[in-house]
Amino acid sequence: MKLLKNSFLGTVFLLAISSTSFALTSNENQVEAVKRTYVPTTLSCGINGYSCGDTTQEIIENAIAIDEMVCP
Amino acid sequence: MIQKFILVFVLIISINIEAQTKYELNHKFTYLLTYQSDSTITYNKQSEEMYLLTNENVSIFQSKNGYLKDSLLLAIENDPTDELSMADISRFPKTQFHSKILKKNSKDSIIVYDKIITDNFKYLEDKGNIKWKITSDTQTINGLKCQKATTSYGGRDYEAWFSNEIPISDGPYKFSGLPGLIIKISDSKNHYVFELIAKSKIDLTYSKLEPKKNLFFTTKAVFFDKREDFKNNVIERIAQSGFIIDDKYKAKVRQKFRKRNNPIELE
Amino acid sequence: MSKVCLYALALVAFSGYAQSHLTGKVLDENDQVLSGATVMVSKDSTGTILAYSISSGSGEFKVQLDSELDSLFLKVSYISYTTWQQHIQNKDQQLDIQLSPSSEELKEVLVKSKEIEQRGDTLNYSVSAFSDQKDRVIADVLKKMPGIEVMPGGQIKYQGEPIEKYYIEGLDLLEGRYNLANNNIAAKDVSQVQILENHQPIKMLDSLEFSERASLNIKLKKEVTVSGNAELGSGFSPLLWKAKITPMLFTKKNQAIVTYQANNTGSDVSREIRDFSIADFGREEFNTSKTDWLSIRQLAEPPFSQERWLDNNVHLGSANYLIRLKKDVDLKTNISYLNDAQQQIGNTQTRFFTPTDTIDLTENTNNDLFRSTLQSKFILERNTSDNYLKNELEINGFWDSQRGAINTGNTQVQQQLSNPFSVIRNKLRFLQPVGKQVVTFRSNTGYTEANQSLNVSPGQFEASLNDGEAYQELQQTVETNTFFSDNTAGFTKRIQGVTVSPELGVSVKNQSLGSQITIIDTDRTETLGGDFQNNLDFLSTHFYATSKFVYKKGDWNVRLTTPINLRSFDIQDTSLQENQNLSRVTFEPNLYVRNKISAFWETSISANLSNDFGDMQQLYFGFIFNNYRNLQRYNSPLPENFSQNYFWRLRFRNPLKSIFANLSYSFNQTKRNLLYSNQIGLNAATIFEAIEQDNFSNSHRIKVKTSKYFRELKTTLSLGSNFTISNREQILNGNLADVENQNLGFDLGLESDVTDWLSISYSGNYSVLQTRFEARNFDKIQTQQHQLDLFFYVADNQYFSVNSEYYYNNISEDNQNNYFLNFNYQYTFEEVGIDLNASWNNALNTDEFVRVSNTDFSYVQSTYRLRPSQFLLSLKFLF
Repeated sequence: MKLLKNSFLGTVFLLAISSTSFALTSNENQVEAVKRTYVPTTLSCGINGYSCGDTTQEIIENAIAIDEMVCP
Repeated sequence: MIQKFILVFVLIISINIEAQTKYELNHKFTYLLTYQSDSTITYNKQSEEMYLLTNENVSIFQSKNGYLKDSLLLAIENDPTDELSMADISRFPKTQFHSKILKKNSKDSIIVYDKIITDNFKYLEDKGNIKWKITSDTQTINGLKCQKATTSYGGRDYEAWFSNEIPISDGPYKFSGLPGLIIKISDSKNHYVFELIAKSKIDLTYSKLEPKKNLFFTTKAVFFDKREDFKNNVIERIAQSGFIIDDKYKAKVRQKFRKRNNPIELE
Repeated sequence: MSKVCLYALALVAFSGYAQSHLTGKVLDENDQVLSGATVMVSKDSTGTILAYSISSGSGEFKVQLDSELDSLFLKVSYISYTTWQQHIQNKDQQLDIQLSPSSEELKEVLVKSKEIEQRGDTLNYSVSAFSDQKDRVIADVLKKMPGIEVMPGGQIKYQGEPIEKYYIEGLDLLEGRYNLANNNIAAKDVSQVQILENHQPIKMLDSLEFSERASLNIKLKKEVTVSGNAELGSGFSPLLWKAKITPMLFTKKNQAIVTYQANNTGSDVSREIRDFSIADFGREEFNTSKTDWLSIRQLAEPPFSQERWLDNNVHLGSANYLIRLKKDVDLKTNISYLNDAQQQIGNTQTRFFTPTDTIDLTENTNNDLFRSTLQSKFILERNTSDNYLKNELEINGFWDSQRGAINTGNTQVQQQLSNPFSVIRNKLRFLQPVGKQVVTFRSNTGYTEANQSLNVSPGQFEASLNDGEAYQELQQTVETNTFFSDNTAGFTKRIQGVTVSPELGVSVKNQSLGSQITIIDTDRTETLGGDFQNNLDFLSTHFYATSKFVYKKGDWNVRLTTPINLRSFDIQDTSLQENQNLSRVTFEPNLYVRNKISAFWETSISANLSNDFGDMQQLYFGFIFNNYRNLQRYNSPLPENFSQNYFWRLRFRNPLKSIFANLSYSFNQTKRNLLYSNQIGLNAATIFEAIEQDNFSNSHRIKVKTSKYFRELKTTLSLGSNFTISNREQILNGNLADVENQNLGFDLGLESDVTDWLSISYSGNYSVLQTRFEARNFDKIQTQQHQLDLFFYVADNQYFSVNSEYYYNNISEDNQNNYFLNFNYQYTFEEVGIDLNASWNNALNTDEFVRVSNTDFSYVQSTYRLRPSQFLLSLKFLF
């Protein structure tokens, strides 16, 4: 199921980019990076875990999103 | 659950996505939101600054930190070579309000963008859902002559003070439609209070309103269901999004979410 | 589309009258439709909105109105367009409204910021939230802020403890002499007052040593502020005058405050340069404050505002300048000169209680006091995160003299005192990282000198000094000097979460005292020898090894210091053939623990043992004639006091609700090796001697203080109480007696800007003192003080105020109640920024104040002549 979700999100991602009038020059880099990586992360409130994503930006975004959810 | 949801909406999304429009905005109104996330603990109030960015025809409402975070992420995206250590996430501006609200004068409905972890949602809501009742009470707030109006929305009774000295029919969050800007609005229990604290002229191009990734165009009801589901299965949903919390913290996180029982829209 | 904009609602109490429909379109100058324009209907141009509509995407509006009115006022606005407004008939009609563009700006949003905000360890008090029309300088506003107290002398306390630093925009221009800034910086120039809780002023130590003290920072509205004030006033009677000019400059790199102040109106301007510096934690500092060996008989000063009683003629000049040479390196110069001539008139009635008898003494006193003081300080400070250096050179000179006349009913005593004093001191502190530790070096070296003399006529103590024969005049001279030097080296290192700071030091203090008594009669002048002279050398050396351990984790802070001291004293009087030697090794640990219980609560305890040895002022072998009825010597061993102190405090603060409170309890026990005896002679002259006998004194003290700001009432309310019980042993006329004092006090304060036209300031206290001498209870002394100020703002630029004070004590025979009343009127010429102030002080013409106090063995009732009813007119400029 997870694989399904991920591949689906990838498709959405690609579609979204192609339909955007506002495509970025660096998109190629992001598309290339399809490996899913797990990075050990400590949230601002001391909670430990692993953040994963396909690109550095995704990993960061994910970690921030969790931090916002969990820490306050 | 998320997976099922994805299958249900697979047909509607993405093709429909409104092309990334740029908005030239020239006024920034800053509201201070003071809120209470646990309805039982009155002494623990938090606050966050909110931006209402407008021009003559449209407005975008978003939390200040959300706006700053988006700008930072955009900068990283534009320059991926910029090494960013994971430690830096603690310095990122953080927000508890992910909704971005787009109001257009020419449209009957507002567009709401919201977020559950990394999944983005978009839904429309009829402006007519908020029906105002004007009263004759007046008072001066922050140097502006205001008149009172009341409404009921999302399970709360609100008292709004608007001023025609700023002739923009707008306000914080989803509130608009009064003959003047809403200067202060609070629900009857003072769980959510927005107050205008600053106003400035800006020259800003807002280009990344609509998230490109993981965007689901849905309805308000479905989004609320998703959110409820998330609350009930916090740890699982967080894991699915791509973050694995160490076991020893799981109970703590569940407990935290149980205390967050007081969203701005109760129903 | 247009249906969207139909949520126009009518607000009329009763319906059924004429219902009209207004419809139409809103267009711009090019006939293009405007959507989102607001269309409002009201009774008239100032009335509230009765019905409204927002123009739709096609520019259309539709207002439905239930109203019996004949005519209506219609107003259409759109951002960046001129508002269209017109009276119309109340009937169905169609209107197309064209708006024309406008460059008019939107109306300003004037936010009254939140009164107190917390960011981490910093509390931001908004000045605008606490200030009102009458407030001119920042001190006026500070005292209204909950949690902050401004003591009558000007010292600032936060949560009951004195602040450590007073910064202006982060720079410490005045060190402890912050009154000068506090009383002169205009409140309107300040945006915020910040309280920095647990502030460590030395950046290098920030992560190594915590601080339990708070500091204060003044945040100005503008980066560069050139400002100041000037005042000129005159009145009668007698002829009164006052003058003041204080220019100030604050920029990022330069700060300066210069002032000249002069008056004879009773305003004690020396307060402006009073030093409230706090010594570094746990450090024995050499006392460089002025020491007087001799005195004339003074009158007890009334406890209320000096303007009511001080008869002065004062001139003060002060120049203070700070320059930031480069990043984090400051050079500071503070120079002040004060010249004052004061007069005191009054009388003192003293009733001495001895176990067998009571003795009464009446003294009518008339004193003239002259002060001439130069104080200067030069400081170089470098405070970066990897280096700290502070060198402080201080040179002070006092050229004071006093003259006094006393009439005891049957004798007339003249006193003439010359009491100069001078001090020079250099203090250096240096911190430098070496490898992983921080090396500290301190040096404190100085010299003081006091050559003082007292002449009294007719001669006193005839029995002891002149074989019982009356004689004309007695002269006492005292020449003293002190050299001291204290040098310390140590380092600070972090070992597994604990900051350890071992330190070694040596200090030397060498004092010398020479004194002589000379009898001057019509035909002869004789300098007495024997027991009536001193030629004393007093050398004390002190070696110490201290370790300090600081631990901080989460909400806990722990600090332990373990000093081991070797003190030796070598005391020698060559002419009296007396000498004493003493060596002592002492251990004087000090423990402090603080716990932050929650966001609002904090508690701390401290405990310490300490030894205190007397200095030359408590050990000399020949008699010194200190004042006209005191002949004193300490022909005794060196005083050795051992004390234990325990302290507990609980603090609460909730900035959201503006509530501050603190509660503390302290216990102190001191063991002394000496008891002092007072021999009271028939003429009430006391002879004071020390007897070697171990004795104890104990004291318990409980204090509670709370303050809250009520936003709706714009009122700060503070309540406080304290209770002290102390006892000690005392020898009086040969008998040992136990003396116990109990003191209970309550105080209440209120600062309120309750309406636009009135503000109220009230402070009151009640205290009761009970003294027990063995089994004998003395009468309770009860005192009350109440002060109420009312300010009436009759217009935006005028106010009228009434200041009233009331004092009460229960044991004066007459004059138990004292009332005072002042009237004050101020008119501000707003265009030129000038305040014209007229005041009528002491309108009731209360001419004297009676005050009662008691010592362990006496009641003292002193009467002080006050300033008469006076009228004063002054002009103040703020620039």
